[in-house]
Order: sequence, then C-alpha cells, then structure tokens
Amino acid sequence: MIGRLRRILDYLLRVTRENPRLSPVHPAVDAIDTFLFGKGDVTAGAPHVRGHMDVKRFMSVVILCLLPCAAWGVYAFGWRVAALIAVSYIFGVGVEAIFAGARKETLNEGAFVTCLLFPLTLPPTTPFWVCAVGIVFGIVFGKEVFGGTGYNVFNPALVGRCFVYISFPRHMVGGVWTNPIPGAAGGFAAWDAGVDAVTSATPAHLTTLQECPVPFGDLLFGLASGSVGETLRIWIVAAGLILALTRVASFSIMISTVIGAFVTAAIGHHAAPSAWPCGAMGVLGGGLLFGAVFMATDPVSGPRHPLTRWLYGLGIGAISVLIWMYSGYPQGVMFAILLMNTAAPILDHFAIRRRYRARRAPA
Amino acid sequence: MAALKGGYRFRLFEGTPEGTVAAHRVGGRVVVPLAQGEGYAALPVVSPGDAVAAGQVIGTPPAQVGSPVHAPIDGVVRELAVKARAKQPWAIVIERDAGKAAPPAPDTRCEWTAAAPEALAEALTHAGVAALVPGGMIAPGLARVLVAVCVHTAPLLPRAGAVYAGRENDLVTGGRILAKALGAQELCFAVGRRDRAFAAALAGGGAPRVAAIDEVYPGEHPKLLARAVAGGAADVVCVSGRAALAAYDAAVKGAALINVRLCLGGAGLARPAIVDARVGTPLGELCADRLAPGREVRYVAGNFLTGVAVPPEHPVTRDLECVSVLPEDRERRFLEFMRPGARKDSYGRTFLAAFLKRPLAGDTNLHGELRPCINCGWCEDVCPVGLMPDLLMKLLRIDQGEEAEALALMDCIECGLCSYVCPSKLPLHEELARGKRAVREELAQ
Ligand code: SF4
Ligand code: SF4
Repeated sequence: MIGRLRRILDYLLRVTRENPRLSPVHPAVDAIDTFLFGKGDVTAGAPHVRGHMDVKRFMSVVILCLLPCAAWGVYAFGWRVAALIAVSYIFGVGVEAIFAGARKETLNEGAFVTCLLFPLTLPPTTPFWVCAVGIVFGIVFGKEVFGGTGYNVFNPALVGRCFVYISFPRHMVGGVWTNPIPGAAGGFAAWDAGVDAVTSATPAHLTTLQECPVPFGDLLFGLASGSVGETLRIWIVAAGLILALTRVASFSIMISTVIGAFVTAAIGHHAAPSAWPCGAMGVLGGGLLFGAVFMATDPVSGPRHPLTRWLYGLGIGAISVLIWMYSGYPQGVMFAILLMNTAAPILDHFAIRRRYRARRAPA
Repeated sequence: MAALKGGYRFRLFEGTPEGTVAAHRVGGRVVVPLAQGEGYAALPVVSPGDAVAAGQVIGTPPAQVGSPVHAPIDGVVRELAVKARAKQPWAIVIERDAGKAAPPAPDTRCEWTAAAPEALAEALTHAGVAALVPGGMIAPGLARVLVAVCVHTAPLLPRAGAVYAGRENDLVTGGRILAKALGAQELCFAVGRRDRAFAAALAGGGAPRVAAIDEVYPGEHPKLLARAVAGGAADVVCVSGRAALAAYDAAVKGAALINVRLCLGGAGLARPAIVDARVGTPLGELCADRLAPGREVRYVAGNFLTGVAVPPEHPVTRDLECVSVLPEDRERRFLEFMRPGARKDSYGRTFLAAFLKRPLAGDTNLHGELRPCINCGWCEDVCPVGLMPDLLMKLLRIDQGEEAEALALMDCIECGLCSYVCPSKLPLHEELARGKRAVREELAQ
C-alpha cells in the first residue's frame, strides 16, 4: 500500500518536474510528498541530533484539539457544518497553494489550522460563499501580504472573520443563530437546524437584553447556541490544558485572558448588576474561551515575553467584555484579539528593552 | 546556589555507556596531531626515521602558551603529515617498530607537596597537562578558585562517577596538585546532584569542597559553573576532572599525558563503553568492534550538541572526552510526524516518550523540514543565558549585527540547545556562532 503510494508520488514528482506544462503543479505535489513522507534530510552540523518536534506535529496537536469542537458543531447544528468546514479547507488551502507556488516555497502547515479555526467561529447558518470569501480574505490579507507564515501581525482566521462580519452583517448577526438540534442523534441525523430553530439569540445577546441567562451547565456542555465551534466549553477548557501541557500554546495567555474577562465583567456587574454579566458569564458567554485557547495563543501574532503575555491576555479579556458591553458586538473577543495583536510587537519591544537594560546594568 | 534558568535536562539516550572502564588495545600506528587542546600548536622536533619512546617529547610549543606533544607509543616516526595547501605539518605519524631502540622517556615525577609552585607548574606543563587548562598555560597566580568539573549534563554520557570510578582519590590529589601549580586558594569539585556516591567518595578522599550541580545541560559550562560555584567571581578557572587526573599522573607517576579516558556512546554503537585509549588512535579503529552492524554512522568528536563531525581516521586527542557515534538516518517514513513516538525526544511534550522511561533514539535525521520561525518561544525557554535566539537570528539575517550585540549576542555560549528544540528546524546556534565570529573579527580590525 505505502510502497505503491510512494511509487505514484515518485512518478508524479518526475512528470511535473520534467513536463513544462505541468510544472505549475509541481510545488503542490512536492508539498503532498513532503507532508506524507518528510524529506529525510540529515543535520548539517552541530547539533547533530535534533528534537523530534516539527511544525507538522505542532499544528497537528492544535488540529486534534479542535476536532472535538468541530465534531460537536456537527452534532449540535447538523452536517451543514461539516460542509462549511470543507468549503473553508478547499478555498483556504487552495489560495495557500497558489501563493506557495508563486513564492516557490513549500505549503505551510499553519494553513491547515487556519482553515479549521475560521469556520468554527462562524454562525451555523453562514452561507457557503461567505465562508469561502472570508477564508480567502483572511489568508491573503491576514497572512500573505505580510510575507506569509511567521511574519503575519494578525491572526489570519480572525482577519477573515472580522472581514465577513463587517462586510456581510446580514449573515453574521441577528437571526443567524440556531439552537442545538434536539434528540439523541442530534445533528448527526440532520443537515441543519431548519428554519424553525433560527432566531434564538446567543448567550451574549441574552445578558445584554437582561433576560434570564442560559444556565452555566448548558454553556459548559454545549447545549447553548453560538458559533459552530465555541459551544462545547468543557472540552475547550480541557484542550487548553492539553495545549499548555504539551507546550504548544502559552498557558499564561489563556489564563490571563480568562482572568481579564472575569475581573472586568465582575467589576461591571458589581457597579451595574442589571446591565452587566457576572464574572463567570463574562468568561462563558460568547466565544471568549474559544478565543482564549485557540486564537489568542497563536504564537506568530502574539507576544513572546512572559510579562507581555500576561498583559496581552489581560487586555484581550478586558477589551472583549468592554466591546461586548459598549458596542453591542457580541463577538467582542474577535476585535479584542486583533487589537492586542497590534499591540503585541510594541509590548514586546518595551519588555525586551527593559530586560536587556537590566541585564547590562550590573555587569 | 542559583538554579539554572533555561537549560534542558536530557534523558537517557540509547547507546549511553555505563559500567566499568575497558582498556583499548594499543594499536601499531598512531597519528599525533600537533595541535591538541588549549594553547598554540606544537612544532615537531623529530624527523621521519627517528626512534621514539612512549612519553617522549616529539613537538614543542612555539611560545609560553602551549605544551609539548608526546609520543604515545614506542616506535619510529614514519611521516610528518601535511594537509593540502598547508605549510606546517599537522600531525606526526608513528609506527611501532621492534627493530629500533628508543631513548628512554623523560620523567616528570616530583615531590609535589614539597616542590615550589613554579617547579610544579613547569613539570605539569612539560607533561602536557597545560593543554587541558583554559588558556593553555599553567603558572602560579592564574586562578584564585579552581573548579574541577566532574559532572556530565550532555546526552550520551554516563554519570561522571562511572568515568572516574576507582580513581576518586587520585582525582582529589590531582586537583590539589593543579591548584597548587595555579596558585589557587580554593579548590572545588563540581559533581552532579544525583551522583551522590561519587560526591561522597570525593569528600571521603579529602576534597575540600564538593558542589552539587543540577544535571541540566549545559550546567558544566565554565561560565555557568563559575556563577553557580563562586557567584560569578572573576579568576575562577574551570578544568575538567581529566586535567586533575593528568596532573596526578604527571606529578606522582611521572607519566606524560598520552592516555585518555573516553566515553564512546551513540546508537551507532552496539556496545558503547568507557575506554582508556592512547592518543593518536583513529576513532574508526577505536570503535571498529563496537559498531552496530549495517548502519551508516557519523563520528562526532564531543557531544552531539556542540561537537564536530570527523572522519573515522580522526585521531584521539588528549583533550577529547567523548565520542558520539550517531546513525545517519535518511529514511523517509510514511506519516512519521503522526506516530506516537515512544522513543522520541522533544521539548514539547507531545510524544509518548515524555511519559515513558525508555531510552531515547538519537540519530542525525532532521525530524522535520525547515520552516519559517513560528515564534513558539521554545528557543528562548531553553537558552541557558537568557537570550532570544530567534530574534538575534532574525537581526543577523538582515545585517543588524549591532542591534544583535545590544541584545547580548556575545553572551551566547554556543550550547546548541536552541537549534535542538526548534520545531522549524532553524540553524539558530550556527547562525549565532557565525554572527559572533563576525563581530569579533570586526573588533579585531
Ligand atoms: S546556543 Fe547560544 S542562543 Fe542558543 S541556547 Fe545556547 S546560549 Fe542560547
Ligand atoms: S524555537 Fe524555532 S520556531 Fe520557535 S521561536 Fe525559536 S526559532 Fe522560532
């Protein structure tokens, strides 16, 4: 089986290399080949042995942690969600491949994470074309214009999300939310929630409208409405712990984001109990947890220094609650992260300056 | 004692030698490099055809800084080996020859307790011990604190206690001899925290001070040790425990430094070992009957983080302490990155190996592809001197050497950890080392 696959790949590689008309697809074949078999390169000098972690595994861990969120999205909102994710992958990886080919670079594994993250932040009723436009915009203007993976200032998935949110509000706010599909088989037996289920408001709306908030249990166990991937909050917490334990994502960013949101909401609630959500609601409402665990921790667009990571997280948590309260955007966390993405390099700059000044003083 | 910030605790790798010390049979042909260890390269004082005795001086240093080179075996000088495009010979080739009578080797034995420090220093220098002392020079007044480093934190090395087994008392005496010759008032033995029996043996042998060092790589680096043992004071000189043993052999036994105790490790060896070998023995010969069958291997002089790859003809030198024999692994395996990895080491705890106790695999495969930096911060986490290797590399790549210098580029101790952990497989350590060289060259001009 694997031997045959190897032979097919070798054949494709040779053909696309030698035939000038097929050469544009050579980078794609090469990327698939590298993804499946690696390159088999050896170290050129010291250190002669390298750790086993690579970017593919790094990103795989994030994807593995996202999969239960996606699966729950399907269970709660129907197979349409799976189609939404597929659309995101087809268009996202497609643009990524085009850019990789144009740059004569290999495909970057980070795109596989972006293409999964993006649809998970959308309402379940998002039209497919909106999803396609969003992911393409996110990858092109969130990443490629900055020079590709590693140079992007913003989280590309959020750039896409922000773009569709502002451009197509009709499909992003208001009656786009659906309640989870009832029944044991849930969404696994349905395409979508149907027109009847539409118009239920997200928990974020509920609190601002000062109606009775959704029970915390429903929020935690994925029984509330919301964006596709953000509802199974109990798993998001577990995933956060996994990511932190495996050192794939920064625990300080996650925990500080949560603390920032909790404290801000708690203070507001104390001052104006009827208008503000309580601390716990500030954390559990909307996409805050999802954002804290999967979006804020994106290493490329976040800060690096231990101290700035805390500031960054606290800022995200606080700003997302404030945006939610003062602007009426229930998805405050999205803007908060993008805002703090902008601040990350500046924060890092000052922290580094401080650190090295302190370092040289006693010497 | 300040704990090391950063660093990495290496777990047991497959092919780590343990147990008792084996003696390697002395071969019939040795290649003795004229540059061995610290100090200037020696100039040959013998010519092809001369008969030499083991321990006889066959090369002398051109200046104060350096030590003579000795013939490791009785025999005849066959050749002064010259490398392509070089004028000076780099090594003296000696073959065993029963026909010729060799002059007796000189004796460096002295009554060390009674001898003046200057005389002792001269005797040690003459025996070649200066090659193991930083700067390549032994003279009173060069050190206030002498630290004898008897701790291993690099991978593929056994506990130091196993290497010095049976010679603990010689080690202590040798340390005192060297301390006296260097005019050091304090003598300290740096021993691994887990190497308790060894520490006890040293203390029992009369070691004035034994400092426990965490086995976190690169804890035995002189810069970090000086901080850990003496609070970062200047005039602290760190030497390997081997230097203390060599001092003992020179002053008490009158033997020149022609024998070295080596750790041969690595998954390329079926039978890793601690061996006593003669200087000049080719590594290939040393490892010939220990190799794992059917594997292409890479010889690395030193540990695999900082050592250099050398050909199998490369001879044992007197400053060599370990050789890593690594399997060259070029194989492409299907979806390698998705495998559980029961024997895969990584800074990130995503492999099963992080939760198991099995010996880890160490081969030369890159285990991934070169990618742009993903800003994960691992390199910064492990850097033992608190640098931001990724930032420094990025600055060097856009020719911002001065900015890199302002961010303490020159503090890098070239330990190699940043490259070891990087998931993007970036050659951080290499580029930083190159950047440091460039800065130094600029300063020299
Ligand atoms: S090689 Fe230099 S920069 Fe890299 S970890 Fe070691 S000391 Fe730090
Ligand atoms: S370890 Fe590698 S990928 Fe991570 S920050 Fe350092 S250089 Fe970048």
